[in-house]
Parts: sequence; C-alpha cells; structure tokens
Amino acid sequence: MSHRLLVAPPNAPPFEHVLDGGEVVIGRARTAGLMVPDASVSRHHARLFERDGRWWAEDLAARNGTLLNGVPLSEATPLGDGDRLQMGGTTLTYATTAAAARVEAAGAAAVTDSALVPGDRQAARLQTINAVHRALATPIALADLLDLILDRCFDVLRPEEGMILLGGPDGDWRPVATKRSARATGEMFVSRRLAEEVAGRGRPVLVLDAALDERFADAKSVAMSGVKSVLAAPLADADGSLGMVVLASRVAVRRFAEDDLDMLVSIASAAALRVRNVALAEEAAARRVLERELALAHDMQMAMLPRRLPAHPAIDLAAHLTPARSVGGDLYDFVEDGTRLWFIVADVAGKGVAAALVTAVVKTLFRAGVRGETDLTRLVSLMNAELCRDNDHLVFVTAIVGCLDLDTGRIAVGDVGHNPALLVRADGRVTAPELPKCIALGVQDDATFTCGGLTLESSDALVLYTDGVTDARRPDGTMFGDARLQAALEGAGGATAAAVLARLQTAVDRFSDGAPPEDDLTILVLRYRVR
Amino acid sequence: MEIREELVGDVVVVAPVGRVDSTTSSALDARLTALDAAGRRRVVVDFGAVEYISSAGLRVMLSLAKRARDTGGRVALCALDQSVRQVFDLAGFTALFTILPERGQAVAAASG
Repeated sequence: MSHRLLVAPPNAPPFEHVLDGGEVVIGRARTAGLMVPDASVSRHHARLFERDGRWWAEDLAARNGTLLNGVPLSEATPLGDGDRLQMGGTTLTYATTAAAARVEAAGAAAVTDSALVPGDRQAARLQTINAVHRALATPIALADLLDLILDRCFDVLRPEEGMILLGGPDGDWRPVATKRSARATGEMFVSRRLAEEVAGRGRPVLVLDAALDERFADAKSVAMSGVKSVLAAPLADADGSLGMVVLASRVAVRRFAEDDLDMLVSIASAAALRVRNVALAEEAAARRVLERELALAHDMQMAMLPRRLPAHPAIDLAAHLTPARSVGGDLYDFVEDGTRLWFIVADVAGKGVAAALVTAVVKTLFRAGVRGETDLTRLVSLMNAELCRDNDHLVFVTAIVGCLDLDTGRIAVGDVGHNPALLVRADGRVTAPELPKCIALGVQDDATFTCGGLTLESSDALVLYTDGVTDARRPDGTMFGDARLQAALEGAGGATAAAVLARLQTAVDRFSDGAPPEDDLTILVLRYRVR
Repeated sequence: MEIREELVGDVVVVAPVGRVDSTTSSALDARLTALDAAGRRRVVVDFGAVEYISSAGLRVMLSLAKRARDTGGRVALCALDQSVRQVFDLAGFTALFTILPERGQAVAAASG
C-alpha cells in the first residue's frame, strides 16, 4: 500500500509527497524532510512517523500549532485515509490508496486556478467580507439579506450550490434560501445530521467527501446528491444559533479547504447578528399588523354598542360586553319604538375583523328591520334571508331577538340558535321560559322561524347572555356551565338590573380566576316594573 | 390537535380528540377539506373523544355538510356526549346532520 501526502501550500502549486523511510519532519527549514514554502509554518513544525503499520502525526510545539481535520493536534494521532493536516496556510492531505490519490489529484486540478494567484484570491476574499459588511449595514428585508449572503459566498467560494437553513418554530432546521450554479446537477445536498452538528451545536464543518465521511452520509442525502465536498458554518451570535449556511460542490469540480471554511465562518458570523435583528424586526412588524387588526376589530365592535341604554319608566336595563382578545363577534342593541322596546343579543361565529363586519351587518339588519315592523317572526326571517345571501364563508349568527310591549309586559322572543334566556322572578326563582328553538341565522335560506312569548310581572328580570358566560374556563379547564349560571342568579330576585348583571359578572370573574376570556362575554338584563 | 383517522370500507372515520374550538378547529377543517380534495366523500365524524365544541367547531361541521350537499357526499356524526350534543341543539344544527349514537351506525349511514 502506498502512503502519500498531497501538499497544498498557499503561494505555490500543490504537490505530492510519497511517505517512506518510516519518518518525516515537516517544516519550512531546509533541514526538514518535507520542506513547505509557507512563512506561517514553523521551521520544524510537525512529524509523521510509521508505527504498527500506520502513519501517525504529532505537532513539534509549532508556534501556530497543527490542526487535524480542523481540531488542534495535541498528541501523536494515527492518520486515516483523507485526513487533513493544516499547518499555517498549508494543507496536507493523507491518502493510503491509489484510488484516493486519484481523487485528490482531480481536486487539486480543480483548485489550481485559484491556488496559482493567491494575492488576487486573498484580495477578492477581503472585498467579499467588506461587501457583506456594507450590505449588512443597509436596511434590507430578511429574504433579500439571505440571498445576498449566498450571492457573496458564491462570488468568493464558488460552490455549485448553497443553502441557508434557519430554525423553525418546532426546533427543526428548514431551508429558507437556496442558490445553484448553472453547472450544478442532481439533487441539492441536504443532511439532517449536518444541520444538527452545525446549526444545532454551532460547529463549522468541512466535509472532504460526503460519501466517505460517515458523519453526514445520511444514506438518502448522499445517494441523491452524489459525492460532494461540503462547507457549512453556523449562523450564530451570542444568543445562540439561528441556523447555518451550507455550500456544496461535486468533488471533481471544487474541493473545499480549511481556509474556505474560515472564510465562510467569517461571513456567517458577520451575517448572523443582522439576520437575528432583521428576523426580530419582521416578526415584530407582523405582530403589530395583527395587533392593529385586532384593535380595529375591537373598536368596530365596541362602536356598534349603544352609547346609552333606553330610559323608560317601565324598564330597568343593564348590559355589558367583555371583549376577548382574539375571538369576537358579540353584539347587543336596543331600539325604542313608541310603546315597544326591541332588543337583541347576538354572537357571530368567527373572529377578528371578519366577525366584526358581520356583527355590523347584523346590527344594521336589526335596526332597519324594526322600523315600522310589528311582527318579530318576519323580522327574524328577513335577517336570515339577508345573512344567507352570498354567505360563502359560512358565517352564522346565534341570537335572541325580542320585542317588549312596555304597556303590558308582554314579550315576543325569537331564539335563533342561542343560549336559552333565563327569567329571574321577583321571588328569586330562576327559570328558563319555554321558547321555540330555531336554527341560527345565516345557515338555511329557506328556514322557517317560530317565535314564542312570555309576560313579565313586576320586578321580573329577563337575563340574556352569550356562550362566553357558560363556556368561561377556570385555569384547570373546567367550564362555568349552566348550573353555576343558574346558581349565580338565584337569590337575585328583586334586585336592580345593574345588580343582577354585577352578580353574574362577579361569579364568572371569580370562577375564571384571572384566566383571560377566550370568547366575548355579554350579559343583558331587562327588568320590568309596572308603573 | 390530535385527529385520528380510519378507513372503514369507503367511509373515512375522522375522530378529533379534545376540544374543537377557535384554536383547534382550523386543523380539523384542513383535514376534512383535504379528504374532500382527495375524493373522499363519505365521512363520519366520531365525537367520542371530543369534550367540547365551540361555534368555530360548528362552522367546520357546517362547511362539511355544505360540501357534502354540493358534491353528493354523505356525512354522519356519532358518539356526541351530552355537552357536545347540547351545543348542536342550541344552535339548531341537530336537524342539519345525521347524528347517531354508535360509530358502526354512522358508518352504515354514510356508506348508505
């Protein structure tokens, strides 16, 4: 078996050195067995020697040290096929077989053009780092920033393909930018193991030959992408890793070296901070848009509530809507029309601005519908027909709509898919009046509606509410429910409407124990008193 | 949310687990929409493991029923516990669906 070193000095063409004679000292001194033309290499830098049929490397206390596959060489270490020794600017690749040597030769040929003009190459690299820094200082969108980082990497490192991965919400690493040269063929190189090593652990990696390097030879990724040389550097700052930049080429086209990795690490670390800032800014902007939308929906919804409740000697009214942060769509309203008081409590199924818009439609339909109307059933049917028209989003509305005759205490009530109304009698009894149950509005355009009626005695209070009351949850997940609702109202007989409302609201608040409301919560109390 | 799925003959039984509310209902909607896109038009939704459904969940069911009506599909619901059943009843949705106690009955109804 032949043992060779492919020597690639920074300012001279690469050459091959055959290992024989059991020992060789490497250095820039003329007395070194293998002389390397590199000022950053010590006079006697390292020693290779043969023992038990293997070649070993040891550092001879060189000023700049020796790296073996990127790791400082602290003690004598046996070499394996393809291992790379780095001394100053010189890379030495160890090969044991004729086949490996051929691969090395192909790689050497491919990099010759750049190796021959080291001054220009170094200048180009400095320019690139400058360009990246300049670009990073200007305002830029995240997607453009990622593309720019890849562009600059291509300018100077000339890979066939490149990819940036960033951490996703589930802790996975997902591709967010890619670039390929025209000559690239086959599938792009992707390795989960590489991402775990580089992005996950923050370690830069130079893979000499993805097919031979067992660390990253995910069977699938390599089979799909062929034999490639890979450079990968973490996008990491003081707060941790954001992801990584990975560059790859077929080995026959471009074979990366340690100084390529240094270059990529420089670009990646400069980019990381900016990527972090831009990503945070974009996330904050998206959050602001969402919050503005929620605030708008909230304002629209609250603007629809009556500023003042109707004041009439025959009635005592109280109403309150507690909006939830993200889910909404509750509404209540009153219209006084001669001796009649129309009222509605509604819950639009949906959230945000869309629900707020439908809420506005419901209010408009209600207000327009009651003008000159005497028949509650007709009003409800008209509202349903309008809400069914072009209802592509299947938004439906549950409601209790009613009309109180202020002279007699007689109420016509329509329950369209809503939580049942409750009646608190003057003596404190709580009952659910028997009312016909109809389907919610906006579901069936040919639905028929039946309304019911009841008569309020003096001091009776009709309590209407939305499912924000019954579905309120305390921190352990238990819901308020019908029984607690009933219990909260018992004993409230004879109390003012405001007192009944406060009693129920307090019961829900105590029960929720600080848990934020998940749905709008509306309570309306209509108390009747005979003049 | 966890959504179990099983194919019984030509009927897909979809069984969501936990709460079907404004947070989770979009996942269920996406699953049911995907079944429709895949040409699966006979669907049973098994509520056996559902502890709560909100109006957002009802919208998903409404959307399922509407698609079935438009495409000639068949839908049946089963194993609604009392509280879930009450939400359907309150909204007046009970009449819109074939609701059966047991999964087997619902599968039979959907395969019709």
